[in-house]
Amino acid sequence: MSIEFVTEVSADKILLKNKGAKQPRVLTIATELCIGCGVCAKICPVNAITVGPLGSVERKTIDVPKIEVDVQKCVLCAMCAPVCQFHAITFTLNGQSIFDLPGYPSLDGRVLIDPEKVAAIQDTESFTSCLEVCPRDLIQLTTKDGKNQLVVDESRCFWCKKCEVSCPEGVITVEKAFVGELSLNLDRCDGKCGVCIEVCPVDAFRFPDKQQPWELREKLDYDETYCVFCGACQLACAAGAITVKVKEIRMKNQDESVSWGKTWKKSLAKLLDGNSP
Amino acid sequence: MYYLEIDLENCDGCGICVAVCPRNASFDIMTRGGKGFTTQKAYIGVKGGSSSVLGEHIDSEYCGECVLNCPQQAIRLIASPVGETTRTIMLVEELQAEEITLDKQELQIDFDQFNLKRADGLKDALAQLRDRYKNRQVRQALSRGKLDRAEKLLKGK
Repeated sequence: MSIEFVTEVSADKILLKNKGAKQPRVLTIATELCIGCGVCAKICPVNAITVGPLGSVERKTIDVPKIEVDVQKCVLCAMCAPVCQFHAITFTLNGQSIFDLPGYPSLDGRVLIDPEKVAAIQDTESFTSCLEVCPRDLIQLTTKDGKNQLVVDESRCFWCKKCEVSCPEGVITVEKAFVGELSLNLDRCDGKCGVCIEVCPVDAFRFPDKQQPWELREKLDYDETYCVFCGACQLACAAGAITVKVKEIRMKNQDESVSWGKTWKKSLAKLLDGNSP
Repeated sequence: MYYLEIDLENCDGCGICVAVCPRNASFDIMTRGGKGFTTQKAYIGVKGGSSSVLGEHIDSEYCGECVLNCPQQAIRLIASPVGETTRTIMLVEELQAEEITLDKQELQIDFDQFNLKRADGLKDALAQLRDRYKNRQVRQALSRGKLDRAEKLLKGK
């Protein structure tokens, strides 16, 4: 029985399999969830992943997925799945998700809800903006024993902090998985293409408003509060005006006793600032 | 791999693409006002009456501004199977070195015409090649020069 690596492409996902192997491994990329940030491409040990033209894909001038995996190169090692903030990549081993298996790390972003403070607020209207602000509609308000309860579906959350800012004070605290820094070089920016605004998953960029009609407006403005430091804007900017530096990636379940533990640590260090391409 | 294809018959040479290109603007401040490019670094420019891509190849930075703003719809962004193509040609060369006859010439011709239009013929050839050497192990054995093993694997099928 020979092993064959195959891809299956459907409307909403791309599948990669090792057909005929004793230990079936399946890599799934949900194209709708993918932002195209390219973190997976940076960590891939065999450079099998390439990022497409993000701005053009967003503007529908070309019909291709944001990332592509080369079947000829991919070895199905599962390193790309844990670093994906947007939960676009999932990996199963013998039909079991790697996040349920020991030895595989995952991102350690957190959404902490203070149930006492939620229950203390009787007025449900004060939660309106809080429920609407989530870019993936993951927050729900329920009532239990006459008390208000907030439920966040963390399986698809990418820890952008929007809920923390918009919800009543102290109710939600978000700890981001990626910590970093965003900087702009406005000399290179032409101030009108706006690809970064379209590509950004959390709307961190905007064109500033003019105070007076005769004023020249600033080229671009950004707000780091919601930034998840994914780096999609840097890849999409044709002018090379944006730099995203990742300083820390918080991971949990990092087990150095498994045979691939050290490699993992090295590969993560590769993603951090200074070494990123 | 992606590249911009400019339809020379439809292109008027109006220069709108030169002015809207943010990559041009980042290199050369003159293009921002629609004054054309003055440096050699410009990515897209009008030369000899029609637009052409002057800059080096870029990976993921295609923003789509020129495609959207072209009044004649003469510019298109195209995904090229060039990665696969080069890989195929490498494979063919490898196989030829091991005296396995393949229609390399046919492939080469298609590859030469590649810049003018997408080589559908090449795609077919690639599919055929894949069919013939489906087995990853056979390919690996061949690329490592282990002919005996490849033969064994092929016969075993």
